[in-house]
Amino acid sequence: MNKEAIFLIWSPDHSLWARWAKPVLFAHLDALLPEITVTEFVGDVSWCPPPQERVALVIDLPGAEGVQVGVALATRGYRPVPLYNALPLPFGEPPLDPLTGRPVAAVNVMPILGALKKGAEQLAGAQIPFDAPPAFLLDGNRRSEGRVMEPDEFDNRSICFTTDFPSANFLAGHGIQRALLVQKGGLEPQPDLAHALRRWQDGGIALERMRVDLPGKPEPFEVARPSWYGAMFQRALAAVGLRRASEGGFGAWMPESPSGG
Amino acid sequence: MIATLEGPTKGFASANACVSPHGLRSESALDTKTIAAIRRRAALEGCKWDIQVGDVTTLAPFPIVMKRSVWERLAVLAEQLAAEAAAAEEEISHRPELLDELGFPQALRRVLAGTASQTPSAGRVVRFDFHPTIDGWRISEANSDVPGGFSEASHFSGMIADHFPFMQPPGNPSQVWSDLLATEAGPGGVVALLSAPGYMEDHQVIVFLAARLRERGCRAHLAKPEQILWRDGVAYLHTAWHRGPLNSIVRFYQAEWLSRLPEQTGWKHFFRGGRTRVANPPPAVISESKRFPLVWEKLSTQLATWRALLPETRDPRDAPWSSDDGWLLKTALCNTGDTVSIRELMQPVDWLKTRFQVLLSPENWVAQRRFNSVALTTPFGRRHVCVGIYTVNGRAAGAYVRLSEKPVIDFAAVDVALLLEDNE
Repeated sequence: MNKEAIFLIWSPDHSLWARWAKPVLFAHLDALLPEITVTEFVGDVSWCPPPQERVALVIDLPGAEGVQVGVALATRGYRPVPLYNALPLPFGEPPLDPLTGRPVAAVNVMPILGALKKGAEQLAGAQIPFDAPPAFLLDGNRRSEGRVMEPDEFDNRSICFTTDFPSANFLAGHGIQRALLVQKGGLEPQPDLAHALRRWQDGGIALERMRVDLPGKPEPFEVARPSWYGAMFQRALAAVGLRRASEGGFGAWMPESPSGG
Repeated sequence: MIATLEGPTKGFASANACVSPHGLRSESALDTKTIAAIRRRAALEGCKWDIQVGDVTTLAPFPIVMKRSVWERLAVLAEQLAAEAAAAEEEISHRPELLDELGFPQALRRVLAGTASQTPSAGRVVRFDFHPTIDGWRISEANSDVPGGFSEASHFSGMIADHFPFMQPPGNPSQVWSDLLATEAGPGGVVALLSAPGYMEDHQVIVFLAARLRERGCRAHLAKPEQILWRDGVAYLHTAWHRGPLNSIVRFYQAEWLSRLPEQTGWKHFFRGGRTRVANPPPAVISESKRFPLVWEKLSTQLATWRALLPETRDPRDAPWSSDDGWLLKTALCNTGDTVSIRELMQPVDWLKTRFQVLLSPENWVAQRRFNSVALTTPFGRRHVCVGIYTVNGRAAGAYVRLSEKPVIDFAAVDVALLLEDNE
């Protein structure tokens, strides 16, 4: 399968949620296909609510795990929607530093690419209803939190924006009144995701959360108002004195809106 | 010197209100299957990765059509604007007292006012945003520092044009821009393209340009500004995937952001003292400032075209914006349109926040008289149109067109192809 065929399976024209699928990783698939190692997933998604309950899932799990859970959820009647925003590698470069042999990218998204490719084969024959509830897939490692960047690394850290998701109105208009955040290693949403979830909460969507690495059931929660919540001016705030982190990235930014002039 | 160039005739600035509207019309939408395939190709081949923003699908399934004669006149105006801006930037860069009025961070003002030689230019691209109004065509701003939209204006528009055989896009700005950059870099030239980590919408611009440069034989590398080392004014790329000197640098990284990097990164060399060519060149940020018009009266450079096309602009302390809805506010470095503030289009709490910010730091804001944009009938309903015309080294090179439900073009605007048709 080429990248268009793979993307079409993950973002089929006949799905209500397909248009939110992020194309960044798919755009790099052809060039990277030979490099990709595919891992097997043995996991349990019995925790998921029946699709008839109309719950939107936000799967914020590290690396390929999110994709693999998404594929498993598809068999239970969910539509997995990849929301990966990271560039895998500097344009047209090999994944390893030729001098040192270490990975050139700060965040290794190659396993995600592999899982998307393998997942396409698994999803190809799936009969997922047009309006199946969505399972939005994020990389829990996207911000590479806690890791010290090397100065010469490819800085492919990424965040999610509120505009990466459908609005609360859109969800409600399609019968979705609840959202379940699924994570590993913690219950609090990452700061970028907190903005999106708070928007949903403000729009009347009830939020629940759970960890897949611990036994337990989903619990309701509320997202506190994040710093700079609702700020429309992410670039302009930088212009009036908001400093970005000295490492060139994620000091203080508002996960709100894109882009260049 | 552009001081001798003529501005637009009053007739052109106003007469178009009578033309059905401004020589623009919308075509009907392509069928669902065709536009879905185009959107996929735009995403997978054209690096258009923000095809969905919230609930908005950002690539319109229909083109906007403009009379060729209108395009030709707008192109001339864009070239005049570019020439006037270049002359004014040159004059202002030698007048530190004027740089102080443009709303720049202090570090940027200092380096722009420095005495070291300016870092050489690898080329200049500007995008002037034209709007059809009841008074004729007007501009809202110039995207002088880091204009984007190349993929939409070139790759996407080209695909739409394939379905309308009797019409053509007004140019291919990514082709013209990358031809120039490749020529400046030289055969096999090593070019670094810079953007801010984490901003996928910026990455897509430089990845698209990098691909075009590689097609032209350049060795194009993505990087962030901190990975450029400056030795004796020469830029070196220091990354795990390439180490060595650069022939040129293309930055999709705003000048004011550069000025906030630690001094030890050598960021000043992007502006002064560098020997490696940089695009856009250092003075570009001057006309990027929305406070640029506030210094016109103090210039010997004549800005006839700017004066004719840009609405009256004042320091917020000198404009009745708080009592008169005929004015809007925006920050001096409003790169995306997201800080454009119009009371009637905002929630009261957001307007209050804006008021507070303006009162707190008026020197970072500008008040501009609003124009009455003429909406166009499209398959989506009535939409406001912004025709962003690129100039590359002063010559018109194509257009990036956006549609908006509101008379403000911001991140939720929809990209649409512009095609030209011959006059009857």
